[in-house]
Amino acid sequence: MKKITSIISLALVLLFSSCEKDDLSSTLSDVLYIKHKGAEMPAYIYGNGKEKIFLIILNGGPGGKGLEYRIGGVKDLEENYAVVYFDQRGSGMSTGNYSKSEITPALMAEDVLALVKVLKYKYGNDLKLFLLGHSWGGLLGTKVMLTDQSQFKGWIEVDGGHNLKHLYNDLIVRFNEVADGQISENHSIGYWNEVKEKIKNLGDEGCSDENASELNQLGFDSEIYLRKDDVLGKQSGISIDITNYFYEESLLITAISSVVVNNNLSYIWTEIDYTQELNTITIPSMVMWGKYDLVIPYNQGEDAYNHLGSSKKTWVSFEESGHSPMMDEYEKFTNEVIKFIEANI
Amino acid sequence: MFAKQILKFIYMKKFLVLIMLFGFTNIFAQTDSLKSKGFQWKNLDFNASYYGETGWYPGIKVGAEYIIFEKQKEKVKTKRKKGEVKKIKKNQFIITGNLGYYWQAHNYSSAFINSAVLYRHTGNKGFQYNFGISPLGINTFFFNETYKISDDDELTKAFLSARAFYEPSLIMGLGHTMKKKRLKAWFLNMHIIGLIPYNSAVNALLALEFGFRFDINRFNK
Repeated sequence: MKKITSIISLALVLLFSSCEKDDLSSTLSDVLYIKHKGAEMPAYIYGNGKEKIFLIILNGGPGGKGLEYRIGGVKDLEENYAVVYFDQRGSGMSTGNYSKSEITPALMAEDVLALVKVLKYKYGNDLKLFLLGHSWGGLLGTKVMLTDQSQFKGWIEVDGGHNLKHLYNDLIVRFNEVADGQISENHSIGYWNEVKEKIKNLGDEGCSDENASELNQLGFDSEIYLRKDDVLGKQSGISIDITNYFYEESLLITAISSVVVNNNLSYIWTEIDYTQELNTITIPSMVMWGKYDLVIPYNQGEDAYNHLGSSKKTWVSFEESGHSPMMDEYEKFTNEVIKFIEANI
Repeated sequence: MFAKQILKFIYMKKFLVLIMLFGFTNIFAQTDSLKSKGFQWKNLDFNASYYGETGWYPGIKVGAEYIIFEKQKEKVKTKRKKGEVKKIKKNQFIITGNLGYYWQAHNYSSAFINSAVLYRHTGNKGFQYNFGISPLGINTFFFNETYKISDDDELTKAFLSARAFYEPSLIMGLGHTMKKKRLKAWFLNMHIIGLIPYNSAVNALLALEFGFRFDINRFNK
């Protein structure tokens, strides 16, 4: 009887202690689901939560996965902060039931704000939150800022897209500049001549879904040649945690979700332009861009920086990076993010 | 409060419950028609298996199967050393009912129930292969720690947060008969599973299954 009483008492103590705000003194390794407007979206939280500084990562794509970013410069940030890898609506391991027309940047920005609400509920209202968006995540993060920036201490855009309407034409110009530069440096001359030819044809044909997709692929392909010719950082020294890819997520589910959501959001490439609203973003902001980004070119980054309304804004250029400075120059990336967060806590 | 939440959960999934009932009705309907010819216990087998989503998310599956049609071919060949050798090949159509549960590492655990129709060929030396289709199935994901934000922005910690999917599947596999006292055969199956609806469209899973079939009659002996 005594044994049963002690077991029940222990269970009650555990039950009630679990109702309190979570202990942030140890390294975090939590998975929370956010159920919001027809979707269940997981957020994976790893790292040091001692100082209650949480950095939410918005992945690229659309259709990428939160945990794809648990590598290189982003993973290194876990030593200092709690990093939140969020599977957006329709992406990664997110589930739900809604129509195609319901997937919009506006609703996805609401999802991020729902995540903020959950984090504050679970870990305390005094959390210091920062938001980092890469590529498509940069566009989504911009939309979050335009919806409710008051929840955050700072906004970090990394090779993001605030103005996709002009992306096609900007890319045509930038591809030519980079190709000319590489040819003059005697780097992979055959490849860059081919690129120039393709760009000429795509420029003549103008923007279509198919051409935009071809240009996007060409951007990633070009990084292989730029890396081979030592123009981009080598990415050596990055530890790859194979469990991210083969254990933490169901491969087939995430692959199919990626294709579906990418297709659902294909309209953004010709419709979205937040340039004129950027001046309403007034919280501390940092814009980081790879000089050789041929997916979303450098001038788009300069444009975002110039239009931001923040009085405390920082521009960081990565001279040896393509679309992903957190991989190409991961040490510099980590240091710059830490510098920005520490200056704006 | 607890009962109310369970009722709400069941109510929300009622169409899937209907599909489930329809599945069972189908199985029992088949059984009835067999009864009229004389239900035969020897046609009923059970199976238990390791069931891994994507191969490595571990789970278990148990099922029952009933042979609804069987055709046996016998050939007698005369060999110089062995004399007359009888070769037997079997083709069977089988209906199955299955229950399973698996754990996806960080996200959810999943319970499923389905019914399938299988074609199985057994060669003379006991090697088997099968193909099948499961038009009736339900898979329910039970999510880990979940917080719900309602339309009016209210936050609550969700109790038993789950989502159910209609889950048709294709099955293909191989196996071999066994001469053990109770085990009838081992088998290795691959399942290609649809999840409908999933987000704004559909999705799919791959599962691998390794297990044993046993004959309940052999336990009685």
